[in-house]
Amino acid sequence: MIEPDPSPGGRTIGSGAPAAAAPTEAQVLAALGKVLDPELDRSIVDLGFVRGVTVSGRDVRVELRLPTYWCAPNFSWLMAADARDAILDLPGVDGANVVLVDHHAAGEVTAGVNEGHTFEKAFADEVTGGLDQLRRTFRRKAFFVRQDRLLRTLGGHDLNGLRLSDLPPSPEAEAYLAIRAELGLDCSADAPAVTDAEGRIVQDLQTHLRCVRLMRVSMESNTALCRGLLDERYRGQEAIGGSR
Amino acid sequence: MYTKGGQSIFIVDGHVHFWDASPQNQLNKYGDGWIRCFYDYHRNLSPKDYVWPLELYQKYPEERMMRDLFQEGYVDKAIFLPTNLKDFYKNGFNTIEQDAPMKEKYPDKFILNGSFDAREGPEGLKKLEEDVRRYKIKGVKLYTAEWKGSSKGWKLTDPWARRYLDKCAELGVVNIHVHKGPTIWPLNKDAFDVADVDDVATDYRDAGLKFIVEHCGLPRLEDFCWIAVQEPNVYAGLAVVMPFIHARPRYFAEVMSELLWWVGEDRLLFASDYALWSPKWIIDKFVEFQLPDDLKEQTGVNLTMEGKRKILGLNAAALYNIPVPVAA
Repeated sequence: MIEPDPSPGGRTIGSGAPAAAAPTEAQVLAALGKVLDPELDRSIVDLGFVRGVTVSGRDVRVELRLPTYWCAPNFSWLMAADARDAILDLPGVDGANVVLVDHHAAGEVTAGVNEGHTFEKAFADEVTGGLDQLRRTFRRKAFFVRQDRLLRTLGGHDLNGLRLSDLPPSPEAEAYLAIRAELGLDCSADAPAVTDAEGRIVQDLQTHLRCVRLMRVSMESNTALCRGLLDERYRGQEAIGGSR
Repeated sequence: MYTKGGQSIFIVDGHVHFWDASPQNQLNKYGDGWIRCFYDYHRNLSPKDYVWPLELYQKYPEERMMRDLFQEGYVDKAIFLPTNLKDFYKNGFNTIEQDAPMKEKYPDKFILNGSFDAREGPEGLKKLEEDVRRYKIKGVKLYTAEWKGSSKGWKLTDPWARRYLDKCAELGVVNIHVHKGPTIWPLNKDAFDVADVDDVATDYRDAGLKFIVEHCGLPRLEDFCWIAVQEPNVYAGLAVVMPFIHARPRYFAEVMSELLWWVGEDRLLFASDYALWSPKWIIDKFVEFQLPDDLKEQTGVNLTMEGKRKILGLNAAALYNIPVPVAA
């Protein structure tokens, strides 16, 4: 059945094209599963940050909850804005409303994100620019952490001269290749496996391995703390789709 | 003094509070949000028997603090680090004025510290001078994420911050405790970043200032370690890290082995962050703690009894010129 004209304010549907059906909650959740906490490089669904998903007609409402009342507003903003973009990218969605709850900047973040503002507009007096640099800094950290996780699976393998084609298939290798592609690094079979975040071969391997391990320990202990605080804060209130 | 099996360990708790977060003292929702956040840290990382009811946690009596630290908690000397939060609490959360009567009543038990806020300009500078004259403080605690009117924080490299650090050097206030939080100006930057510590640690090294980074820069452990490895006057306060020993022992071991490698056992300071956590159970577990063999092998470091003595008291004693009994 072809739907009549979309309701005012909704997305324009090409003439004669059948409108996509509204997504199910499971589809919304699958889309949100790709949204990452920028500090922890983990899915917000996996971390238990998604409290509620409601699909009414072609409008989707999502509630996000965080480990503390004080989680940094910049990272909170990135998660809320990315969640909204992920929902709006789904076929069959006209409106997305992402509501940040129990947070010191809940009002500013929720209003700003849903009105489609930028962070610098929402917090005009308190910023010197946008969040691109912050996001890049943390994608680089995530790159090194994923690299360390991968190298730890290789046991006694000689890392000198290691190529991407030498990597045995594993979830760690897959995660590492994904972030290499995301950062625009060489992903061909011959590309060196142990590089910096610009794709340059590492010269001092021992120091490099020390550094990436430290970054992993930092991110993982931070993740453990965040998970613990969220558990404590919402004891008995299950998240949707969360896992350990 | 911790005593077991014929050996004694001198204990300095490098970070304690005597706070008032009672509903009567809360100014707004942020005051409530602050103490509830602390309470989740407390509940999540404490052993079950050491979890307090929220009401007690909001405001605890003097007797309770004296018992937890000095009678049951082995502590010989405790260092007060104020956290003012005057935008959240009517009389502040934990000011030098709140701590001072405890110091006066128990002069041998406590070390009193002050604080400054670079945004307070010349008036704050005068207050710092007065605090030094009145309380003879040797250290300050700086919370750079403190809210003040519309401002959400400040940096150690701000021009006025340098004037305060100059004053500290001039007056012999040599121990600068730095505490990062989730907000700062500008909000688009990573508020937990410790790069400003790097700059001032270099600039004030010859002036004799030491920078103790509270909770060793967590959640930016890596940035902290890279700074500490280059700056000999940068130390790690172990608040927040220590209680991992119970609830997350593997992470505790990993973080400790990294700190031992990058920073070294001479620049790590034990702290309970009381009343976030109580020192007794942390010290009991830490004295018994051994790094797992796989980590020792991977990192090449070990945590010896000599290292534990330094971390638990001797390092802080050196910073604050605290006499250490011969028995320890």
